[in-house]
Amino acid sequence: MREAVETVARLAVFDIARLLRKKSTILVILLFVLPIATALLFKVWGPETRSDPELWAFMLGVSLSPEAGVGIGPLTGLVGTNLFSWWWLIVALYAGDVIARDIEEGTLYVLLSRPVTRGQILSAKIISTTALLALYAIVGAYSVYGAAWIIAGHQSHAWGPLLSGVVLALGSLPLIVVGFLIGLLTRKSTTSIIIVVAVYFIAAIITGILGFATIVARGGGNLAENSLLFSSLIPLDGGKHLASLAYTRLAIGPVVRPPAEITETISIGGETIKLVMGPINVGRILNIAIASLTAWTTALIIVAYALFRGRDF
Amino acid sequence: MLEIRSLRKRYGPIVALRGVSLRLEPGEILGLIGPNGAGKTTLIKSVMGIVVPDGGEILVEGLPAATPRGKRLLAYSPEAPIGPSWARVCELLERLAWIEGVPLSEARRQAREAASSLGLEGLCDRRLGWLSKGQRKRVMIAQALVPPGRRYYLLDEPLTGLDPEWVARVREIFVGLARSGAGVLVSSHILRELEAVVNRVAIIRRGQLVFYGTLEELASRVGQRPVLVLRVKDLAGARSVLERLGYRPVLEGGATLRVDLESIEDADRVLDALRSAGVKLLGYEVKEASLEDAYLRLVSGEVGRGA
Repeated sequence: MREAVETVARLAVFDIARLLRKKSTILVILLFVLPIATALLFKVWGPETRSDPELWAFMLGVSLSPEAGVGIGPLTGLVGTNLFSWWWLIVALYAGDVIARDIEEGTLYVLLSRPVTRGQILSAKIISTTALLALYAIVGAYSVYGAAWIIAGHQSHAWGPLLSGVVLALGSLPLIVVGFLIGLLTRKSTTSIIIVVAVYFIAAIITGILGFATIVARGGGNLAENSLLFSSLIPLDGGKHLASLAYTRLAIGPVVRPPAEITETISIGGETIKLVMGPINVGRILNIAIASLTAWTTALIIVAYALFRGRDF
Repeated sequence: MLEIRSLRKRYGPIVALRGVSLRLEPGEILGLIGPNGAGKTTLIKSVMGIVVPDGGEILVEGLPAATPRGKRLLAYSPEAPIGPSWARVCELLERLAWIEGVPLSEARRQAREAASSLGLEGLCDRRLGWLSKGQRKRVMIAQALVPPGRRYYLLDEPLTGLDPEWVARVREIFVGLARSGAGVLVSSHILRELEAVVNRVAIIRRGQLVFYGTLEELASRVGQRPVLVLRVKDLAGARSVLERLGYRPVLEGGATLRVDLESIEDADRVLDALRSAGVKLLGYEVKEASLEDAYLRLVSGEVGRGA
């Protein structure tokens, strides 16, 4: 057993060396550097700023972020230069390439001829991609914190990015396994990446349609809560909603209440629909999201293994 | 011993292997010969677990071959000049040994040694993506040598794509492996390439083993009849004359036909017939059939199968 685990670890290290040398790494590094560079430009040529806890909190807190779950300051968010604005693309570039390039280049022949099992290769691929995405998310989040530090001065140490990075990467698991499956079928890296991007957007569209359709069917409901719930049920968004829920649960609490409850009535096909912007039970949705993520990941890994096991290369 | 029993494989409607059985003994070089598409690569990949067979059994020292324990006894060099373009030559060799549990410092030493035996020491820090096809091919052979000391080596067309100097040196490498007690299976579609080094040959055609034995047995089974090699201007005309005489000429290139004769005396009769039919001869040669001719005769289906 120990030998099998060690083999997986060694295969994962071998794969991380490959991932780090992908051309996409240049894009990732650029997205680490750009928030800092933007902040420096702002500091030199922008309006004068001073050490300011409120500005710090604004840069990190205001947009800690239903979109990404980590600190995207409005400054960097504004120009879209941080990693999280492009997280979907980063996940697709790595998920779509989990196995496809190895098949394309024949590396898989070499690995399969070694004393390893296909299960070990699959495990190592998933672990290496997830670990690297976690690392990128953590560094990316700290680069945003760095930008805030440059503008507003250092106010407090933040552990959020560490947690958010890990949660984002874990939330990317289903998409990573989907990438593995697509790579097995297409055997072409570029095709596989394009299909993963398509899966990401199609899942987002389906989630939106299902969320709204349920509200229409019920004659009304809490729009934001419903949207979060359906995003949790189809976790193919690279972990964005999971990270957002986890952050909100820890930073704010199990229930998030808007400053004022807003109710709006709309009419669709003669039916009156009552849309509510009310409290969101983040704790409950987070539990559903974790259960859904676990179920999806397990099911997808079983399918991927079954397909990989019987495949000829 | 590496033993393949009744191996079967089908890719959709195409039958790649039809119940092939053969054995590779320690210390022997077995040539796996057959034309393109005969099933050689599928057979080797099946042993290594890269292709999943539909039926049959592959055992190495009594263990199922496509398991980690079985594969610890096997080494494989693929046919195509492939490999991860991102990796540096020695880094790849070193990491592959390390994956199998060899400590990093020892893996480094083994990698340098394998690279050096394939003349890659000067390319150690070069990425595979920057190598020529021939150099990549040598890297693939080198990776089969790390870690050293495997019991059986399966080399899929190791000489294809190499320049003549390296053909000779790679041949020496697998002769050396066999001398050290390892069993070596080498595939090729050209028997001539391996004639000088193999102990036995297994010839496959359309997924079926048509011959399995020593070269002497091959010669006696097929019979070494003389061959007339003709260079003609009008291929169709020559072919028609030869077929009228009851021969089955084989096209061997642009303007060259090979005709198997019953005896040397038949050559004059054939040449006279061609001349009187107005076929212009650019050149001809009557020679004793080589093993390559015997092999070609076997794979063209002229001689019944047998092993």
